[in-house]
Amino acid sequence: MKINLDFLKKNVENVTEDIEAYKAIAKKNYFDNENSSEIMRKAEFLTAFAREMPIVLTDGEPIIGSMRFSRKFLNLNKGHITVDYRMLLREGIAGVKERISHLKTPDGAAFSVALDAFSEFIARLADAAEGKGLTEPAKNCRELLSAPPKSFHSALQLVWLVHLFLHAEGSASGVSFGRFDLYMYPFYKRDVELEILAAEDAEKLIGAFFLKCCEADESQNLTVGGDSENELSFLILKVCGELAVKQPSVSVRVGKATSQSFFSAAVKALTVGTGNPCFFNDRVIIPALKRIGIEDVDAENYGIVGCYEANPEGCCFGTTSSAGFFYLHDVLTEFLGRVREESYADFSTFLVAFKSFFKKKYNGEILAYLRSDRWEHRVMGECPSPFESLCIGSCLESGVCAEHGGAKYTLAGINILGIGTLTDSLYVIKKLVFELKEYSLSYLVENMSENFSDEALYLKCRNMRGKFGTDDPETNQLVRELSLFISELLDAERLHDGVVSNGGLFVFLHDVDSESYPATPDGRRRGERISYGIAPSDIALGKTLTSVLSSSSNIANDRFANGCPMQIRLSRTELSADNAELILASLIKGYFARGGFHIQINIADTEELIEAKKNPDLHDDLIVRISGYSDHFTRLREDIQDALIERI
Amino acid sequence: MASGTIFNIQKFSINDGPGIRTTVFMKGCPLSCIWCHNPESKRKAPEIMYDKSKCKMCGRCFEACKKNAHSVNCDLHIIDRSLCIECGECVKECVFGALEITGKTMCAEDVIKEVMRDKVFYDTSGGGMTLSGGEPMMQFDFAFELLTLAKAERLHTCMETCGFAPSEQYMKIAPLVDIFLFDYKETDSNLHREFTGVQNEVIIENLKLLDSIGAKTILRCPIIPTCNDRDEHFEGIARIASELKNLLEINIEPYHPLGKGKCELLGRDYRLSDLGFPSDETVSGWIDKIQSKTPIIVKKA
Repeated sequence: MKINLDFLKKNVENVTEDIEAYKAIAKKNYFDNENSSEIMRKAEFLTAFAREMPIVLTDGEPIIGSMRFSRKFLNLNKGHITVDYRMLLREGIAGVKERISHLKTPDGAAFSVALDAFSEFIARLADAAEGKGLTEPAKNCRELLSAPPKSFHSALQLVWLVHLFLHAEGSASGVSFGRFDLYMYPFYKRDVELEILAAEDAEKLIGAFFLKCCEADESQNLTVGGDSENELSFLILKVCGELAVKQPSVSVRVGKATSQSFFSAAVKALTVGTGNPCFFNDRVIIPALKRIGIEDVDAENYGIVGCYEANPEGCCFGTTSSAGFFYLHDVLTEFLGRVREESYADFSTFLVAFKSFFKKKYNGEILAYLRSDRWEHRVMGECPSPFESLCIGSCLESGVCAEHGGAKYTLAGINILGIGTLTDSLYVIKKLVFELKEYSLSYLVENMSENFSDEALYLKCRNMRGKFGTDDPETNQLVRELSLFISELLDAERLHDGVVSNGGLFVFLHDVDSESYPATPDGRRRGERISYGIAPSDIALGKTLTSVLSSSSNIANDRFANGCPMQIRLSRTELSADNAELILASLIKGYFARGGFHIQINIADTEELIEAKKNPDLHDDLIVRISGYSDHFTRLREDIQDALIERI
Repeated sequence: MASGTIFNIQKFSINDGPGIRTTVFMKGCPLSCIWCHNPESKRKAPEIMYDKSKCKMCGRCFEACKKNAHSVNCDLHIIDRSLCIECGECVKECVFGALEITGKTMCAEDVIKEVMRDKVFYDTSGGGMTLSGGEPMMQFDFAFELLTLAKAERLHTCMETCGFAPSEQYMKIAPLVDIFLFDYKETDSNLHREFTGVQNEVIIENLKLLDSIGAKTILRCPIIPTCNDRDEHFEGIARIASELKNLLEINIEPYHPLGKGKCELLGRDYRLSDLGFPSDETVSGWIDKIQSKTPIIVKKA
């Protein structure tokens, strides 16, 4: 089958699909369906989707099934899983059906309805494709109904259909492919050995697959590398660099088995400047997973979910952000609001009091919530999803859906934001109040609550040297202490039913959503952005790229498996053609040697971004990575554009 | 332990030698190039820099100054630099950041300690430490000690130099320097004096001497429109290159006018008033001309 990627690329956005039809099906069969149980009405909604959803096909596409309906989130499932594709590809639809038939659980009945809906959808898709002359894809679909895939092409088709149906079920976000090069390789190898697939054809198929991913408006992570590196991993990186599209978000695992040539290929793809791929450090992530009780073999088999979250693949219900958000700047301002009187002899006494307040607040809010029926109801009860569950191998074994605890691992993701802003704030208090004694604590707090009416105080706080990000030993030590304290707090209490809390140091885009965040002691005025991930605050002075990376590696990256994002930007003019790859590779390697968890690098000049913001029509092809996923710069919200322009 | 005056320790330098480097900028220079882009490096002693745009005329500095060097005349904040003893008291009081002191005394060990913070990135990139300025050779003992300590830490070292220092000092320091980033500013000796204040014979002699003992060099050639963007000079660059056995490459440094603003901060006159950034086409034109005359790689620094 001849594949014209240019044509398909143009058609990704030209074809419109009736999102309204999808919503109408959801309304009638899910929202207005009051007769069935929660899990069953979702299965019934999928049956209606399979029968009624208009089929959209593009001429000449080798992989069929349109996902363009999935642009508005219904949030009917949690998303944020890696599918057990190894199992699905091995057993095929018929194999899974056979396994479900032995299940005697109530959820099992819903699994069965959902899987039948999946088959029905594929059959209908095959008919339509045949009618449109898409003979080979139609044939692939038909064969998938009765047997596991044999060829690379047909395996890709099955992966795509599963992905599509997961979106149909819930229109959620963060549905991730996991270790694509690992589970697709046997099919690639077979076809190459049979001489029915040339490398360039495989490349085009992967390209077509990437373009299918561009139909959805969300972060679909695809992991390559680690100990599964093979020829296919290289092809994926090549497509990632050459096709330069926004989806999927390609994540490269760097570990013991990573070859120099593979690492170089990944860096080469990065120099294209789409922020893709980003890099994950096995040496830090695997221990981080083991620490929360993931078995060795599962920890080693992690894939990236959504933006940065490491989950054991295919057996985990990760609920990235189910425990809600914990804002560190909030904890501090609330604490400061209560301590007007000068009752601390020195900074260390002050810090002890702050930590004890912190602990109370955490236990009273996050932990209490995680242990409550409310959490149980919201996460585990509200949206049991039959199709999502049958994509997780361990749910098929238990016969219990993921939301009812059927997966081997259920993690309660806790998102913690603003460690840079917190560190700087405590550092400023230490210096100005306790060491230099230039201001009393109550004056600082009062003036801060007036959004820094005292200009001199404001500038002293804001421009203080040695803040987090400058590789200053004092703030390095402070941030380490804080990160260890937080991780121990998360560890201290186990939750019910084998659920394990899993901390991550970020909240998706909430650094930018800062309008209501009050001023902080680091000289940050109300409404300004707070620090993102484990990167320093934008307003900290005296940073360089290397000092930022060195500083952030002092945070206990190996204790936050739910993500420690590090996002930096390099100027294209600074990087010359002959040093770009060396510099990028050296930054990543150096950072990982120091214990970094993740790094993503945008390559763009400040001037280039400002110009693109001014004249969006001329710069529609500029793709950047923000908060873990890539998108066209010109289509981002203005405040997000500004964050990218101003950040290091 | 030698100490010296530096005005910046710049981490993540990626255009001052191979890999990721930290550049130590040392104060003091024997030349006075009319296009100088680091005028704060000229004098060896620390200096006060005053940024008018940040000044709120709050008067805190007047009170802090023991020498009465700050005054106001017709709403203008004047610094009498003949009275200033660079004590830095006014800088401490200036919360607006309008006053800064450039240059501080540090001992070699502390500088190296700071440089070593980025060791992991030198290891991954083949980078290291670069001494720049100013002219590092102006503080010879300090430079020698910095390089000795760097070598003890097995760091790759570069030194940027204008070439105007005693030959025996170059002979002494050469074993500690992996690559010299050696300035070559003007072929015609009289013009060289006009542009930089000194003739170029000593410089060329030092360059050839270093080459003769096997020291690796990269030629760094500032090209300034209306001064040295002449064919004769381009030929001169190619000629000197052909006489060197250990030359790695030729770097063209196109003029940039950033020194102008700094001169204002330092209360000095800037002598090249009307030049802007040369266009990309102009710069690649220069590079092509030089490249056509020499087999050594010519590129923009």
